Amino acid sequence: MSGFSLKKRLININGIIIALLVLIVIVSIGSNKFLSTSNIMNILRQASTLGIMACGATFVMVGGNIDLSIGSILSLCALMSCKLTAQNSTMAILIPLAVGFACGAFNGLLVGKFRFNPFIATLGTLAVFQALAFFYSDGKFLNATQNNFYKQIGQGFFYKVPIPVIILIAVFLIFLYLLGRTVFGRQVFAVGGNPECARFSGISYAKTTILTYALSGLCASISAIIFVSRQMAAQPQMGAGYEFDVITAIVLGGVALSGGKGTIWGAILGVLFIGILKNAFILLGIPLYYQYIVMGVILILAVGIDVISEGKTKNA
Amino acid sequence: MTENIILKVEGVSKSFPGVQALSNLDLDIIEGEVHAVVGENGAGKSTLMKILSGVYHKDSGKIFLFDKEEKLSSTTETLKLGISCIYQELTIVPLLDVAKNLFIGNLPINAARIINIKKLYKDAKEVLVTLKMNIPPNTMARDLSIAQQQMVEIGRAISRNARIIIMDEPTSSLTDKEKDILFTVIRHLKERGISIIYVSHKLEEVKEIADRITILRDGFKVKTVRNEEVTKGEIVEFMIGRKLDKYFVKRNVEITEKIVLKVEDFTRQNTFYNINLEVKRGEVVGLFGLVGAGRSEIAQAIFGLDKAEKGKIFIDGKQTRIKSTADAIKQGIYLVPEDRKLQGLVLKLSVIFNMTLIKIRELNRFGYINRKKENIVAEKFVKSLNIKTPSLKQTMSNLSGGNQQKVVIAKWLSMEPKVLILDEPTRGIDVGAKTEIYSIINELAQKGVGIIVISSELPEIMGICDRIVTIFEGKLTGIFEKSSFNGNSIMKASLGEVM
Repeated sequence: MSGFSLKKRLININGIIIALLVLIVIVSIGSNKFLSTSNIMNILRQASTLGIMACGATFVMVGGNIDLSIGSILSLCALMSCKLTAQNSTMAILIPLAVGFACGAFNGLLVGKFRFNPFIATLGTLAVFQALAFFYSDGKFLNATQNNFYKQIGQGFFYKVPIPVIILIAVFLIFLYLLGRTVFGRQVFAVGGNPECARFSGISYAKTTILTYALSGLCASISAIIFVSRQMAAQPQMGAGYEFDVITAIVLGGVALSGGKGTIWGAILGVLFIGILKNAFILLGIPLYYQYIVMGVILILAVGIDVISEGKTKNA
Repeated sequence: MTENIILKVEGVSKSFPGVQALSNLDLDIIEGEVHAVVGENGAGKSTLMKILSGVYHKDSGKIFLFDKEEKLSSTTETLKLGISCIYQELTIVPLLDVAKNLFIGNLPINAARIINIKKLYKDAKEVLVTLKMNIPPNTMARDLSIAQQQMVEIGRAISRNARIIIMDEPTSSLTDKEKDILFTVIRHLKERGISIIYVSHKLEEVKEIADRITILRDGFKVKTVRNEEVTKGEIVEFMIGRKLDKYFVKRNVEITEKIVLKVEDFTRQNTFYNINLEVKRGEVVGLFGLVGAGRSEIAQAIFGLDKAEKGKIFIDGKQTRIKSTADAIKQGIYLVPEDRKLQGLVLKLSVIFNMTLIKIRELNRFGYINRKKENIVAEKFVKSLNIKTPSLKQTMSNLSGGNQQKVVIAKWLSMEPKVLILDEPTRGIDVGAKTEIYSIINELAQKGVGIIVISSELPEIMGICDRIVTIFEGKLTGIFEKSSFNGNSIMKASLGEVM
């Protein structure tokens, strides 16, 4: 008898899986390099930073909000990490993580505690964090101090699998568990699905929201460290525009814009779709501006599907 | 009087995934009659209503309007055909005036498609006269009482020359006086040959106003009868298909002298003043008063949703500070909210998610939810509260009102409360579910839980409470012990009349 909701869920996830399979077939016909091991690893490595950020942003969106500032948090944390490689690798990792978490918590405070509109609040902090990044680096391009351990994070391999991909899998599993199986995860769904009901159920909107944003900020800082370690350099605008890819990916993965609906699985599938698409543009030699058009159209389509499916659940 | 059938429904069926909402239904509506449709939740009343108003499409069957078969494929079409529907949730635009609300979607325009203001207000006045409403047509809708807003909705139907008006639980937020006005208007509409389909749970009202009554059960029509041919008890029997011995379950609970909750001098400006309240273990205390008297606000302040400016709370004799709902829950004080859709449930999520949203506080280890135990708890409540759902994973919004309410109650019952506050626990649910909820309240009292029930229905509150406290304009106006319950004096106290 549980067939109805299960079937519905399968259709939701199926949509993105079918889109993914169609894309893979098309690209592999278009380019014979596509399915080579090295290219697949390349896609996964590229997708790892996006995927990690998507995991965090999924929490914010399921909680009924949105985080536009992740790109700026990434830039700020990347510069910090880069500069701190001059001290030691522990500091170059821990301090940016703490800063990312704090930046996110600040967003959460604005939205959760002071009830700012999440769009406007994080649009504001997007600018503020970006400005802080410029201040921090004096607007300059920074080079990292050579450090073997630090370098492994972005460039190393574990049994032929790039370390960033390992980190992505770890973050993915932790967040999957956190959203799907824990009390906190349920509270995020409740707050996103019906904040008033959450309040009546003894769930603090402020605390839950602050934590979702803090996780989003933390994820941006993890991606920042991977970025810096890969390039051993950082510049103040390296994260700009990242929020676009992240939000496109997770909406594509079936996370509802109105909150209360979505899975980490869906978000990751969305990330893989975006990752493969970007790879395809390079393999097939399509100019960059086409990429923007396609990405924009995909975002609008994904939101359209979201609107339709939301409407359906409302009528039911 | 010749009986002119204006609407005929023949063999209409409708199913949703997992539910046969209507089966082979026949119905006819005579010109100028008030035709009540009654039935338990999930009996098919709303489905029928939505098919007639064009929101849902029937799977099979035929619908004739004035002997002509109609598809009723959209709400705009049914409006044009003269069927208007007034839902429980009103659709008044608060920032427009009465005249514009009356003619919304139907504004008188001239050749240049500009609103003919003169005609608009003249027509509006006419409609208001028909409704016997003595308000200027340029009053802002937000300044109207709920009852007046409802009248405007009816006026809207009249202005569209509706031949059939469907009313869904029209008195659910009206006072007795406002109800009388509504009934006067309904009788007036009847005289003009307009037919009313009156959907309600309140059998007393149905008996008062209806000409004929159609009883639905589980998507089937039990029968259509003339009002004078049945008694209320018989209608209830038809609705639930079994004999109901009594509405209220009698009980014999020994109320201990242990005071579990004591509220002292509770005050919040403009809301409630100097409220003193005591609840003993095993006692059911009723808070009775008009909607807006401050009953819910007092309860919500005890539950930590809003702060009282002044006053103390004692639990088991110890003074306690409750700053948030989380504090209240920790102390064992629970509130089952009034509005299940807005406050009680996340409608887009599953039955099990909603049912265990609070219980998971206990069903976890370091935050990791034990899903086996969660399932056991949920299944236990589905069985013991007789919740009708195809599965635990069913989306909440697919359940009928009564079953949704049971999920809300299960959500709080799973926690073994010390004090349970129920705000309008039986609003909008059918007789069968009501009786079940009353027996749940009794069982809890027997276990020694202190219970506060807020209700607007006097028979209900007199039937289940040991003590009734009346509230009028935020002030406590009377305390009545069960031995001295008297409907008249309780009602008077709740209206602020000095005894």
